[in-house]
Amino acid sequence: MPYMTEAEVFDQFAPIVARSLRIDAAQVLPDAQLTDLGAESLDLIEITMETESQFHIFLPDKSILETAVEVFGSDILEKDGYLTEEGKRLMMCRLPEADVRAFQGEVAVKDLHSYFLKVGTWVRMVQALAAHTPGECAACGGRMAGSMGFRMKCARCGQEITLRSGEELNREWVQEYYQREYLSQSWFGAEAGSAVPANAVQ
Amino acid sequence: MDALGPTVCDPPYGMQAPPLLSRVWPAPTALFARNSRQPKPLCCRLDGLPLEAGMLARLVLTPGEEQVWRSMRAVAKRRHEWLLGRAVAKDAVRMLVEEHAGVRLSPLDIGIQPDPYGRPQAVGSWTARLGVQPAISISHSHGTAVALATLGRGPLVGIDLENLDQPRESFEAIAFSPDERDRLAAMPQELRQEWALRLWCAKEGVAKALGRGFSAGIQAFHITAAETGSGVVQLELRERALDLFPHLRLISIMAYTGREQDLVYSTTIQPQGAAE
Repeated sequence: MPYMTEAEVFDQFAPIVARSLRIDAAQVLPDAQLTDLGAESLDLIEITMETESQFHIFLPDKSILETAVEVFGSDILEKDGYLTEEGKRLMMCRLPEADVRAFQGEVAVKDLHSYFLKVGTWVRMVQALAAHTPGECAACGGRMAGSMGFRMKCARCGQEITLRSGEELNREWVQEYYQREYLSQSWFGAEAGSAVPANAVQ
Repeated sequence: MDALGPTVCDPPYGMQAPPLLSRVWPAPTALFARNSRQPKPLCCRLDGLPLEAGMLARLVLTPGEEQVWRSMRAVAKRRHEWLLGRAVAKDAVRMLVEEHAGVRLSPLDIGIQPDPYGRPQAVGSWTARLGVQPAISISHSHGTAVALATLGRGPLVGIDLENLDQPRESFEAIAFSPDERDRLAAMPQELRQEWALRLWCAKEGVAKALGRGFSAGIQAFHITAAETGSGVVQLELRERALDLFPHLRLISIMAYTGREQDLVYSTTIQPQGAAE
C-alpha cells in the first residue's frame, strides 16, 4: 500500500470502530480504549476483520508480550503478572510513543493489555503492518489489489503474493531485539550466557 | 453479633446491609450443581439497572470502586455494565457466604478487584476471618450482567454471555479453526448460529477461568467435542496456552453451554490441581 501517515490510518480506522460499535465517530479518539467505547469480545473480532480487509493486513492474534515470552522463556519478561525490568525495557523499545512514566514502578500485565486496547495503539499497529503490504507488483509494477484470504494480486500481470502475518513480523522483531539487546547484554554482563531459551532462533 | 466478632459484618457507615438486587439464575450451573464432589456454584443475574446508576453505585461500591467508576472515561453502556457486573458479583458472593458461613455481608464489605492479569477477585477482611475465598467470574451483554461464584479450594471459574439478537456471521473465520468450522457446518442449519455463539462462549469462558483471557491467542483454546443434546462442549489447550498451563496438557476441559431466549451462555468450573 502507499505509505500512510498515522493520521490517515486513524481517519480510516475510526469509522470502522464507530460502525461496529454503533457510536458516533467523534467519540473514537486516539486515547480511548475500545472496551470503554463499548466493545465486547465479538466486537473486537469484527473490528479486526474489517480492519484487515480495508488495510490489506493480517493482524496478530496474540500480544507482543506473549510472543516475546515465547522467545525469551518464562519469568524473564513477566513474573506473577508484573513486567520485570527486562520486560519494561522491551516494551519501552517496542512502544516508543508510550509515556515512560507508565513503566515506572509496578506494571501489571492487565495495564499493558489496556494500553493495547487503545485506539491509538491499534492505529500505530495498523500503520506498521500496512507498510509491509506492497502497493505495486514486484514483477511488473502494476497495482496490487486484495485477493482471497490474506493474499494480494497484481491487477496487471496477475501475480499473487501472501501477506506477511502480524504474528510473523512480531516474532521477527522480538528475535532481532533478543539478539541485539538481550544476548549482547548477557554476554558482557554478570549473567553471561545464562538465559538462552531453547526456542530462540540462534 | 455472631461469634466472629463485631467487626466482620457490621454494616459499614451505620447502614443496614441492603437487600440483594440480583436473582439466582440456576440454568448455567445446573450441570455442576449435580456434581457432589465439587462445592456448589452459584450464578446470579441482573437484567438492567435496578436503580438510577449513581444511587446503585453508592449502594454497592466501596469508596475506592466508586472513585474508579466515577472517573471512568467510557460510554454509558460500558459504565453501566461495569457497575452491573460489580453489583451482581457482590450479590453472588453475599449469597454464597451467607449459605456457607451464615453471615450476611454488605456489598460494601466486598471489593471486586482485578488480579495483575485482570481476573476479578472478591477481597475483604472477611475472607480471612471467615476462612473463605470465593472464586468469581463476571460477564455482561446487552445490559444483562451475570456472575458465577463458588467457594472451595481455589476452583477456576469462568462464565461468558452473548446475545443472539445481533447476528454476526463473519466472526467464525477468526474465532474458529478449520476443523472447528467443519464441526459447526455439520450441525443442522437451524442450530448453526446459536452453536457458533455457544462454542465462542465456551472458549471465552475457559479463557476467563484460567485467568489470562485470550492473550495466548484464540486458537490456543481448541474445541474437541460439542454435544447438542446436553450442551456440553469439550476443549483442550494448545500452543502457548500449554506453556502457561502445563498441567492441562492432554486434559479435556468441560464447558457447559445453554440458551435462554436470546441469551447464550457458557460456564466452566475447573477443579484446583488441574491447573496452577
